[in-house]
Amino acid sequence: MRSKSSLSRYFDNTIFWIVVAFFVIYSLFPFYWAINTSLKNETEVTGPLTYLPETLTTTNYETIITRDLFMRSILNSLMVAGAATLLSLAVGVFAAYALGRLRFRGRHVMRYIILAMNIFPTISILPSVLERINDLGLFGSLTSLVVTYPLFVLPVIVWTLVVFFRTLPVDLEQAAFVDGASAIQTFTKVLLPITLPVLITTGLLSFISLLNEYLFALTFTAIDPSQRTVPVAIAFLSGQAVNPIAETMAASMVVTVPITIIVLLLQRAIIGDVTSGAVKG
Amino acid sequence: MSGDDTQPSLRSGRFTVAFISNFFLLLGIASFVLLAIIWTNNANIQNVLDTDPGVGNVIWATVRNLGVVLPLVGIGFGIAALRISRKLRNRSRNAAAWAKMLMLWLLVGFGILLIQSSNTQSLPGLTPEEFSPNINFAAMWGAMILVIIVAFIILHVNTQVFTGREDASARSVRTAWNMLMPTLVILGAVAIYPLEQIFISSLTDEEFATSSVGEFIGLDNYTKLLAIRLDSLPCATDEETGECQTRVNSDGETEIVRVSPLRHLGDSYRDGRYREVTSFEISGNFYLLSARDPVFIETLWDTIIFTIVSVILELILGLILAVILVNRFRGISLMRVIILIPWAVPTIVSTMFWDVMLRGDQSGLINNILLSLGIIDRSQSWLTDSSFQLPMLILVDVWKTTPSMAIMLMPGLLLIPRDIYQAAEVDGAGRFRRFFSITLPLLIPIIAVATIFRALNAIRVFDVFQLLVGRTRFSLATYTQEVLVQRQEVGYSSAIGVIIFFIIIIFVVVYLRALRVDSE
Repeated sequence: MRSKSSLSRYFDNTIFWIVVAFFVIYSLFPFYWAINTSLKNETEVTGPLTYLPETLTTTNYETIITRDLFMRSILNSLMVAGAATLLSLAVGVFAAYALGRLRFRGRHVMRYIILAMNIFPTISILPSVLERINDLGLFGSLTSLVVTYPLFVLPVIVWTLVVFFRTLPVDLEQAAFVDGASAIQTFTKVLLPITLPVLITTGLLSFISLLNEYLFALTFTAIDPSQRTVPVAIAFLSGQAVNPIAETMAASMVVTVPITIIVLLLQRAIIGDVTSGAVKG
Repeated sequence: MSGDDTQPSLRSGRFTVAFISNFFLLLGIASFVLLAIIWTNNANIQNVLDTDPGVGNVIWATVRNLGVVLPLVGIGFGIAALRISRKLRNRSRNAAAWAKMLMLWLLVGFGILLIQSSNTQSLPGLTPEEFSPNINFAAMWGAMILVIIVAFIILHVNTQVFTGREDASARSVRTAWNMLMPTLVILGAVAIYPLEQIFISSLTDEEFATSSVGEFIGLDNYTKLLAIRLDSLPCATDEETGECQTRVNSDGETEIVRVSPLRHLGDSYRDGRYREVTSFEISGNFYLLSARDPVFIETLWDTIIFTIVSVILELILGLILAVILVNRFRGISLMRVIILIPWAVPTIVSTMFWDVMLRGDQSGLINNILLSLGIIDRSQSWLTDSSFQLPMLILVDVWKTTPSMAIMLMPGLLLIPRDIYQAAEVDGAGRFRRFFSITLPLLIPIIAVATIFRALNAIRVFDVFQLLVGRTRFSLATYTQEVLVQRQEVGYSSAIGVIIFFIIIIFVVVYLRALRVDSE
C-alpha cells in the first residue's frame, strides 16, 4: 500500500475543513440574521440596520410561547406530517418492492402512473381536491391533510425505494426462496432490515417537506384556528402581531427546535453502523 | 387429512362453485347495469341527447360529466368479473385466488363509497339533485360489504373444491398487485378525480365566474398558449432619402427605427393577437419573436432556466455535502443538523429571512455588507431589478434545497461496498480519481431519481416566486395561480398544468433513457 506523505494529508485535511466551514457559514448565515432580528425591539427592527441588538429583548419569544394557538399549530404540524409520512412509508414500501423486485405485466406503466400523481402544480389540482375533501366529509379537519399529503410524498418514496430494491443483489432473495420462504417473508425478513436506513432517510425527507406544505393546509383547515399548521399559523401571525417581523423570526426559531431534535435523534439511524470509516471521495 | 378433503364431496363442491361463479356473474352484470343507470340518469347527458344528439356531442358530454376513469374502471371490473366467473365454473384454482383478491379490494372500495355516500347521498358522477330515488346509498354499500364478506367466507372455507395447479408466477403476480393496491387506493381515492378534471377542463373555456361547466373548445387553449412566430422586420425608411430612420433612445444610444409589426405583418398577426416577447439582431437582420400569450412564453423560459441552473447547482453542492456528511469526525452529528436546518424551516419563513436580507435599500443586509466591502458602489434592488431577479431566486432555492439533495444521496454513498475503495487505494488511485471512477458511476441510479424529483419540484416552484417577486415575474405555477385566481380562467389554467405535465413526463423518460437507468 502506498502511504501518502504527511504534507499532502495535511493539505487534504485543510481543504476538507475549509469546505466544511463554508457549508456551516452558508447554512447558518440567514439564521444569525433571524436570531438577531428576533431579539430586537420594535423601534430597532424598523430603524437603521445593526449587526447585534442594542437592547436585548426576549419579549418576542414570550409573546410567541404564550400564544396557545401557535404552540398548538406546532403539534398539529408534527402530527399531520408524521401520520402522513408513516402512512406513505407503510404502503409505499410494499409498492416499491412489487415494482422493483417482482416481475409482472404493467409494472413500468404503474410506476409512471404513480409518478404522474405528483406532476401537476399543486394550485391546479387544488379546486378539485377540495371538492373530493368535501365529498369525503373531511373539510376543516386535520384528517383532510393526512389523506391528501401522501399525494406529495408517496411518489418520491416509491421511486427512491424502487432504485434501492433494484441495487440489492438477487442472491439475497434466492437464498431465502431456497429455504422455502414466501415473497412476503423474504420481504420482511431479508430486504426490509437492509432497507431500513433508506426508509428512515426518505421518511425524514418526506416528513420535513410536509411540514413545509402551505397551500393545502391553508385551503382545507385554516377556517378553524385550532387546526392550523405551522406555515399557516405563521402567515396569520403578522396580522395580529405588535412587532410582526421580529415576532415572525422568533416564531420560526421556536419552530426549528422540535425539528432539530428529531433530526438529531434520527441521524444516527440513517448512518447506522454502515460507515465505520471514511467514504471520502 | 380425511378422505373428504382430498376427494371433495360432489354436492358441497357443486354448491360452492355454482354460488361463487354466479356471484361473480352478478357482480359483472351489476357493474354494467350501474354504469347504465348513472349514464341514463345524468341530467346533463340526457339534455345533450334530447337537444343535440351527435355522436361527438354525446361522447364529450359523457366524458365531461362522468370522467374517463369511472367508466373505464366500471367496464374493466365488469369484464374481469365475468371472466373470473367463467373460470370459476371450470373449478380453476387460479381463478379462485384472483376472486378472493378481488373481493378483498372490493371491500375497500365499497368502504370508501360508504364514507362518501354518508356525506353526499349520491352515486359518483351524479349530484344529489340529478339522482336521488328513495335509496339510502350508505345502507346499499353497507349491504354490499356484508354480502361480499359472506361470499368471501364461503369461498375461503371451500377453497379445496377448486382444483388445478396454481403456478408460482401467477402467485407472484398476485402478490405484486396486492402490494401495489394500498398505494393505488390512497392515491386514487384523492387524486384520480382532480387529475382527470385537469385534462378534461383544459379542453374547455370554463371560468369560475360563470356557473356553466364551459364549452368544448378542443385544443384552443393549447394553441393560444404555445403559438409563437418569428418574423424579420425591416427598418422604417425615411420617405425622402429612402434610408433607415434613426432615433436616440433613453440611454443616449442611436438605434434604428423599425416598422410597426401590427402594420407590417398583416392580418394574421393582428387577428391572432400576437404580441412581442423579445427581439434580437443577427448579422444586421432584425428579428421579432411574438406569441399570443407572451407572458406565458417568458414564464416558460424563466422557469426552465431556473430549473436547469438550480438543479445543477444543487446536485454539485449536494454531492460535496453528502460526501462530507458520510464521514466520521468530531462534531459530525451537529454538522448534520446544521446542514439540514435551512431545509427544515418552512419555506414561508426562510423566504422571509431572504426578503429582509435582500431589501433594496441601505437597510438590506446584503446591500450593507457589499457596500462596506466596496464590491458595489450603490444599493441594488435585488428583487425588483429584472436582471437580478432570476439569480436571486435561484440563490434562495439552492440555499434551501441543497440539504435535501445531500440527504437523498447519502444512503447511496453508504451502500457502496467499502472493499472497492480499498482495492482502488491499493492501486494508488487518488481521491478525485476514486470519486469520478468509482463513486459517481455507482451513484448514477440514485442521482437520477434525486434530480428527477428536484427538477419536478423546481419546475413547479411556487412559494419562492410568490413570496419574493409576487406578480412582477412569474414561474409556471404562479402564472397558473394568476390565471386561475385573478383571471378566473379555469380551462386555460388547466391547460398550463397539462403542459407542465407533458414537459416533465418527456424529461423523465428521455433522462432515464440517457442515463440507462430504466433499461433492464
